[in-house]
Amino acid sequence: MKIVACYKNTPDFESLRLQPGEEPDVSAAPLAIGQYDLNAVEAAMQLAQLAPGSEVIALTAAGAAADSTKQRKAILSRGPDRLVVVKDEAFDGADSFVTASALAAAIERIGGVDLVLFGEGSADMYAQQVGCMVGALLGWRELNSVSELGLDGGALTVRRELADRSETYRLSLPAVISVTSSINRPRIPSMKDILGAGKKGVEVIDCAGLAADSRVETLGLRAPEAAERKGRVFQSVTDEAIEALALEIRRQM
Amino acid sequence: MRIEDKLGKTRFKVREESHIRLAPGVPERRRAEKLCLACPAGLYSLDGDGRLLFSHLGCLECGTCRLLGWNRELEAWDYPVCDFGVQYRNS
Amino acid sequence: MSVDKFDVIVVGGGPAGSAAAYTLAKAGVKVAVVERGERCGCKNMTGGRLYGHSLKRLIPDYEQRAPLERRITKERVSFVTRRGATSLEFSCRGLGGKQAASYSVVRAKFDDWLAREAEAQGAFYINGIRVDDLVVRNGKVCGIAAGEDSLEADVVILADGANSLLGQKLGLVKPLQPKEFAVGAKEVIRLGRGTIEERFSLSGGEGCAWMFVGEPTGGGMGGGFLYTNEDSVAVGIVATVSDVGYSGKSVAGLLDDFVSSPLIAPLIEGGELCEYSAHLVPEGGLKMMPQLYGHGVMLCGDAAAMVMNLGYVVRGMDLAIESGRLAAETYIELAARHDFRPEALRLYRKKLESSFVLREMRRHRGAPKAFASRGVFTRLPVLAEDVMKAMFTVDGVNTSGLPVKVLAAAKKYGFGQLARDMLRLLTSV
Repeated sequence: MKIVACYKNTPDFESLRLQPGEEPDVSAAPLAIGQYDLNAVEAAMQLAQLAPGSEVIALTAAGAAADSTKQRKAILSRGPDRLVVVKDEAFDGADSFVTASALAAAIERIGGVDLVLFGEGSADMYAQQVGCMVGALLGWRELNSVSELGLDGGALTVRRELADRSETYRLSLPAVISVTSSINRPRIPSMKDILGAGKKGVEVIDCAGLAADSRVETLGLRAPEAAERKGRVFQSVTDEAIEALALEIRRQM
Repeated sequence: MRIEDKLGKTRFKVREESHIRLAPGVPERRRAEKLCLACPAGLYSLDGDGRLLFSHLGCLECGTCRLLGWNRELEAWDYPVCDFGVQYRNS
Repeated sequence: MSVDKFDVIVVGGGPAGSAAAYTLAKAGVKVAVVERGERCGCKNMTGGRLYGHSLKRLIPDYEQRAPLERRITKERVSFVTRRGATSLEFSCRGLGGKQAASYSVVRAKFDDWLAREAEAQGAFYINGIRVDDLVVRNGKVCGIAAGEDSLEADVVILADGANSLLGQKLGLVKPLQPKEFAVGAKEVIRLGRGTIEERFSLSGGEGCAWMFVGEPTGGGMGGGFLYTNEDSVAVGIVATVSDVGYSGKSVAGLLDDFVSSPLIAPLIEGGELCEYSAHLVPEGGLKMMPQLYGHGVMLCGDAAAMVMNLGYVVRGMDLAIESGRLAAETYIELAARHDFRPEALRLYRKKLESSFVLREMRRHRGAPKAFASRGVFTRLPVLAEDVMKAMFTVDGVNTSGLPVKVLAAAKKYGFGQLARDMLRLLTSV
């Protein structure tokens, strides 16, 4: 099976500087692999184990991050056999459609892909659109909110956990799947994993100027006002304190 | 400003398992008090029975407690595994 | 690139480790750096200042490339009592000239940059991995072990910081003594560029370094510090570990009192705390320096206790960088003969002896002892205050001349005590 796991390098969200009403300042935030994307990569690795002989390809559309050896090593140390980077400055801050178009084109170019995996959303914009759009652009079956993945013969078994029900499907391939953050616990690379990552192949598809046109115009991006905190502190290890805390929460709700 | 609030400004990659383990028993009072005063994150405290309490959440991995209590009040001290623990951005 | 066997493994991606890796990679040596932080620098903390001379030797145009906060052009030293402070200020445009400028730095940014520079030379960085042990065969260090994995090399360079667990496991570093270490704790407070320049009377890009003696540590051994970063201020204290509790206050409490004292509070008013950090500082000087090499292993930087605290000058990173560079050069010279026995690696010590690292550490070997007497921290600030009070008080009652007033202050201190304290200070620093 040929599995593509898509990911995005985003500014590490915990290093953002947020001032209510102002644009988030990312200047001090180092790049990181989107945290939800790690679930997609892990899901790909686990599926590949179920189907011996599988190949897992990590795929990203990136601008400045495309050349970072550190970021390449970071994704490849999570298991994928190789990496494909679609490079264009236009991908920094691109909307979902621009990204999806680039990824879909790359998937066609890679050729013979059975399954494309996404996380539940990007760590920065979290629009949860790119997976669906790639499915539509490729004309493949597409499902999101997938919390369990398995193989049954040549088909994919899928479980979706929704607010009011859970669904199970049997899907023939090729397909595009977006997984939830609860589907697995992404692995932590070992020293050997990181060493191995340095030896894996990286293909850069330079598509300078060929990116699709944006469909969404961003008018503004503002950090929200911080919610007022009650500031009540319960500091104790006794059962009474736990009860007091529970009582307080109930009262506030 | 309380130390808990200050530590709230520092970023951590939390692991539930502690990288520091206290030795069982009641420590020597003066030594235990010194540990409480020396930990810059204020993670050590004494309970009513003179037993040492410790939480690794908020540990800055400085090693001061290891210097003071290794092989006595502390029976295990290591850095957190992998990349867990404190993640400085501005220090 | 094949990466299974390396010539050298460096443990620790701080300034010492990355300086070693940079030098080795540049000479074509296959080198891996294993760092437990996800990014180099994210486990590290400095008070604030890098003396740039040794980095300049490594990377001559570092000033155009490195993420430096501010060039230090204003030095202040204050003796602080409960009531106030006696301060000395020295400012000088372009202090240090072209070769010896010093800069405030933020380690998360600086260390990561230096690692990227070494990586660009060909060093292989393995981040997010804690080295658990060294692989030792027949007394020779052959590599490292982390989790299930091990990795081998001709030589391992230990640059694993002040609390070098690996150096201790090998027996090169003796069990750490509380009197030889200080614990540093600091707050980084974001104020904005303009506010900093206004409050500290600085021009664009210039910075201030400020040392405090006395009240910040409650009279205990140690001191306070303040460094201006680009848009933040780093305020902290350093307290000798064995002396913690002297004032009855905790380390965190001392720092909290310091930042809210009338001396500091107005300067950081309106600022936003963006990080609280702590770290150990080896302060025992030459006396505590471990065995610097063994069979197939060398120690650099903080792991080798390469820190100098003279009170008015605190150095570590410049020594770390130089020691890393010299360890790398030692390997490069010995690689042809492939001899890494202690007798051969003694070359590293020789190189350090003829460099500023051991020369200056030797010259100032008395400093740790001078600062191990409480007089500096309790009596000196009071003496300074008494002398200044005598100078600047006009009451129409005390009509003696200044020399008499100064003598009176010295008498209160105790002439013998004063002579002893001064002598010790002057001869060592």
